[in-house]
This record gives sequence, structure tokens and C-alpha cells, in this order.
Amino acid sequence: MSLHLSPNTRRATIETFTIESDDVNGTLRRVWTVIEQRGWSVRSLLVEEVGGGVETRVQVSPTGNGRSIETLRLQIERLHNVRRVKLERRSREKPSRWKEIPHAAVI
Amino acid sequence: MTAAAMKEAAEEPQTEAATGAKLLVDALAAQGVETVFGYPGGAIMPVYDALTSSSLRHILCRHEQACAFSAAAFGRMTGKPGVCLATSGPGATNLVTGIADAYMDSVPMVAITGQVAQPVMGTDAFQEVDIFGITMPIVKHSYIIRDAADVPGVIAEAFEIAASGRPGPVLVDIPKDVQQAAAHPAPVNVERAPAPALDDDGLRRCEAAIRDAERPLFYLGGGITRAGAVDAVRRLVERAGIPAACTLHGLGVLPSDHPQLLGMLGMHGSRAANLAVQECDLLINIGGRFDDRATGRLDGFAPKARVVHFDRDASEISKLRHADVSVHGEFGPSLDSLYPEPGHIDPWLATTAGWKFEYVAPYDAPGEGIYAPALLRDLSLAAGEGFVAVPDVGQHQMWTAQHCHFTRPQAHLTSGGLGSMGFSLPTAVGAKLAEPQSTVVSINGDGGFMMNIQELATLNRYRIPLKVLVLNNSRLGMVRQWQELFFDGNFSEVDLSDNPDFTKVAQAFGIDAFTISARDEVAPGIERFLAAEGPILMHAIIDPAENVWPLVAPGKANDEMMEG
Repeated sequence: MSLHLSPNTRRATIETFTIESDDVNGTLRRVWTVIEQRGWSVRSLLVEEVGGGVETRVQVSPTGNGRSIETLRLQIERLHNVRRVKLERRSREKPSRWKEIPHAAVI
Repeated sequence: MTAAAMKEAAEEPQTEAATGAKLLVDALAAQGVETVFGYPGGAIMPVYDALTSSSLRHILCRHEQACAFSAAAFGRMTGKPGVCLATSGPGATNLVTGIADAYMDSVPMVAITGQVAQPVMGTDAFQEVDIFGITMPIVKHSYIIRDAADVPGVIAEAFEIAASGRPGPVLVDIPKDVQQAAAHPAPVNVERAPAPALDDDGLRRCEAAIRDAERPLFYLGGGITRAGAVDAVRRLVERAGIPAACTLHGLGVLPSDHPQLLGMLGMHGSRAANLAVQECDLLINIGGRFDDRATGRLDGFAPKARVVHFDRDASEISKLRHADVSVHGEFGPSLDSLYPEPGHIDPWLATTAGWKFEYVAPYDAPGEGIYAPALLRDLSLAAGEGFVAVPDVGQHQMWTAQHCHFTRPQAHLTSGGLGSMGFSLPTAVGAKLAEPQSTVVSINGDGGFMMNIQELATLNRYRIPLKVLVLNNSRLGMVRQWQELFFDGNFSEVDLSDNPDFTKVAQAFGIDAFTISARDEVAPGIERFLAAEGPILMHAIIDPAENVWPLVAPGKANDEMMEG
């Protein structure tokens, strides 16, 4: 997995999800697979155990045009073991601010 | 032991310890499984040992890909998950095409793979492969079982996941040491979540949209069959009186001779259906996903229409085409609470009926050679109600869709999403075993037939009375057609004129076989083909230059159809 981004990706929107799931085994890998399979890049990822489940905060950006964040949200939410996917915030960051976005993936 | 402890022990469910392999075959039987398709190997041997004393019928296919296709055929026919078994490594990877095919077509299936023992997992052990990871994007869910006690619970959950909601394949990977370990099974507690009914607000908005429309059209997709909603949709279409077009997987939702059906839409759809889609002002999509083969150029698809979209998978709604009215939920029984009252649509009905009459498919091809569309139409009519067509992928697949008559969706099993050559023969095997009373016909081109030709051995081994049709144009016909039309006739690697003699090949496998090559041989050939009591192969020589018409070229809208 490389965090070297294509120019198109650098200019793209960052979206942030919070994913509530039953457990982390397999679910994390499955979520990551769906994101990349559906034309998005994972920009950062934070996984925490919360109560009896797991909360994953993930930032994504599209790798191409015409990607619907709501469709991606529903494609993740339909995974088994995923309870809920919440779109945290929508931002349209300028390229100059991208470096300021934390990429420290805590996995 | 105290009296209280003895009482407590007596009240506990008494289960004998059993090996993981034994727990697996028992769990499958508990799910009502009678037939599994598989191929043994090192890492699945404990399961094969347990199989011999189980009630399960094992069908030994001759390639794991065929196991997956045959198992999925069970799912396609019955709506219940079919089961395939394979060993680790190459056995597991050979399942992948069949699993992907089931995923793309939303078919319930449980694929069980052996895995190397846990202590050597991750060490590049012999025949070790991360099948869990490999199949991640093409399964609805997957498991690696780490404890034999979990086997019954995982299997129960796998079946529930595979069949519920939008169906799909589930992979269960079982390390060999788990198969061998003895355990008391953990309690099984799998509950089916109640399916969400269609939301009432969406239904009322749909009714309003129908009331306001002058040119409404139903768009019927494969999700109808997967939801078990065929009868409900037929009732809805008939009480609405609105014309309908269907997708490749929607064929059979309405019988082929239904007066409201305009035919299949899309790349090789009927002209009537495609014109209706382009001219309608309301498109009511039930269980379709706006697949690119159905829509052509998406921004030119149904340009005048508002869209109502019914789907049980919320992520399909507005994925490709914005839905003006979205109706999410299980649309089987809920559809009966939809009361469509179309407005003034008589001119529209007259127009669409006119198109249907005007653009009826011709069968009077010149020459004395066999005209495949006519052969397929005649075959389906001669076979009658019990006809089940299982085309492979290519020109003959589209001819089957265009020209065969279907009375139900299960009469047409096709690889729609993935388009897997080699699909037909093993899928037809599974279909025939699922429905022995039906006349199941495996319809092949010469290219795809060679991809799973070894399954003739399975036919012979179990004397499965399947009918195998090979339409031989000695070409990769669909690729040849595209090279002719879109690559200036630069034919590249599509000549298969060095095919073996398929009649002799079939006979060598112990299958009765014959060849026809002239038009006047078709009728007696079909008669012999259908009358055969055992497996039979009819090898039909057809014109290599024949193309599939009409055709919407890639990147074009559906009203820009090419004709031959």
C-alpha cells in the first residue's frame, strides 16, 4: 500500500466516515477492500475498541470522477458485522492544505 | 458431586465431542443440504473422510471451477445456498471464478475450503494460499474457523448470510487441524433479522408518479427473482397495464409471450424495448441495477424519464442513475399494497404495441445452413414448459436471450454480470440435479465449451440426463463480431477451426452424440435430442460470419441500434 497519490487524487475531496462494527477481525480488511474496490483511496485510518465493538474512523478520497460518497457509505454499511456508517463531515480542502491533514494511521 | 451439581449437569445439553470435519458435515445436513459438489485434496481430507458416513451426496466434478458453478446453479434454481468443497491452494483458487460469478449475479452459495494447519499458516506451506484475502472483494462474507467448536455456528450463519437480503456467496475456510480436532459444538444462535418492508411513503410517491406519467414503463431486473417476488411483480404489472422491458436476468419474470412485455433492453435488446426506454417519461425499475450492458451510454439512457427504483439493496439506488423516487426494502409481498392508476396512456400503449409488431425478429435467413436463432427458438418451443436454458457466454448467449421462450426466470440461467466462459456445462449439471424433472439444456459455443469440457466425465459418471448443445462456428464469435465491426475487420486470435471433433470427444467420454450441419437436419435433430433418455450432445455447425443483431455499440445510447 502506497500513500503516494496521483495528481488527480491530490485534488480530490476528502470524506470522513465513522464505521461502527461488531469486531475488528476481518472487518477492517473488508472495509479497506470495499473502499479501494469502489474507486476510493484510504487516506488515514484510526481503529478503536469502543464498548463491545469497534469504531473505525477513515478518511477517503476518490480516485476518479463520478464517485458517490453516499453509495460508498451504503456499500460499507451493507457488510456483515458493520452496524452503522456515519459520514462525519464533508470538506473540499484546497490542495495546499492537504499536507496539514494528519495521515498517521493507527492500525 | 452434590445433588445440585448433578441436577445442573443433567440439565445441560449433552453433546458428544466430534471432529471439526464431522461437525461440518452434520451442520450441512442440518441446513437441509443434500448434495455438495467438490474435489478432494490434502487439506480437506478429514472432511472427505467424514463424508462417507454422512447423508450428503457428493458429486465429484473434474475441476473445482465446475464445483463452484454447479453449486451456484443450485442457488440459482432454488434460492437456497448451493455448496462446493475444495482443498487449499490451487483447489481454492480454482473456485474463484465461480465465486465471483455468484457474487456478480447475487447467487446464494457457500464455498468451503480446506486450509493448511494453523501452526503453519503464514509460512508459505505447501498448497497454502490466503483464499480469505483473495476472495475478499467477491464474497458477501467469509470466515476462517479457528476452533472446531465454532463449526456448526459458522455454517448456520454462513447459510443465513448467503440467502438473506441480497444473496451472495460466503466462503468458509477451515484449517486442517480444526477439521481434525475434537470438540463439543458451541450453541448455535443464528437469528434472521426481519426484512424491512417497502416504505409506505415511497409506494405512495410511486403511485403519484404513475398517475402523472403519460409514457410509463416497467424495467424488470434479476433482483425480482432473488427476492422471490415474481408472482407479486406479475400481479403488479398486470393491474397497472403498463408495458414492460426486462434485463438479461429479468427474462422470464414475465412469460416471453406476455402481451405487455416488449422484450429485453440493452446492448442486444429488442428494438421495441430500447425505443420504449428512450421515449418513456417514467421508468419504474424493480430489482435492476442499471448495468452498463442494459443502459448503454448512461447519460443517454432514458433521457426523458423520471425514475422510480425499487431495490432491497439500498446501495444500488442512485448508484448509477439518480432515482427520483427510491423505494428500499423487500419488495415481494409489499408490492401488493401498490395501487397504480395510470392516467391517459392509451396512445403510449398503441405506440409500444406498434413497435413490438413492427420489429419482430426475422427467422428467414437466406441459405441452407443452420440459422442458430431459429434453432434455439424451435428447441425452446419443442421442449415446452420444463425447458431450462443454460447458455455459456458469447453470441449464442445473446441468441438464447433473444429467441428462446421462457415461462419463468429459472428457465434461463446465465452468467450475466461476470460473463464467464465455461459457465454452461457445470451450471447445467447443477440445475439438472436441482430439478431432475426439467429439460435442462446446456447451450455452448465452441470456445466456452472447451473451457469446462471435462465435465462430460461428470455427466457420464452419474449418467445425468442432460442435453448439451454445441453451436460450432469455429470462432470466438462475439470477439470476431466486434473485431469485424469496431476493429476494421482485423481478426486477431479468434479462429478456432482446429477444434477437435466434438462428437468424437463426447463419445469418448461415454456420451451419445451426433452432428447436424444443414437446415433440414434441425427438426429431426431436435426430436432426437429431446427424446434421449440419457446424456446427449448435439453438435450443430453454424455460419462463422453470423452476427448478433440488433447491437448498441459501446459508448452509444440505446436508440442508436445497429442492424445487420
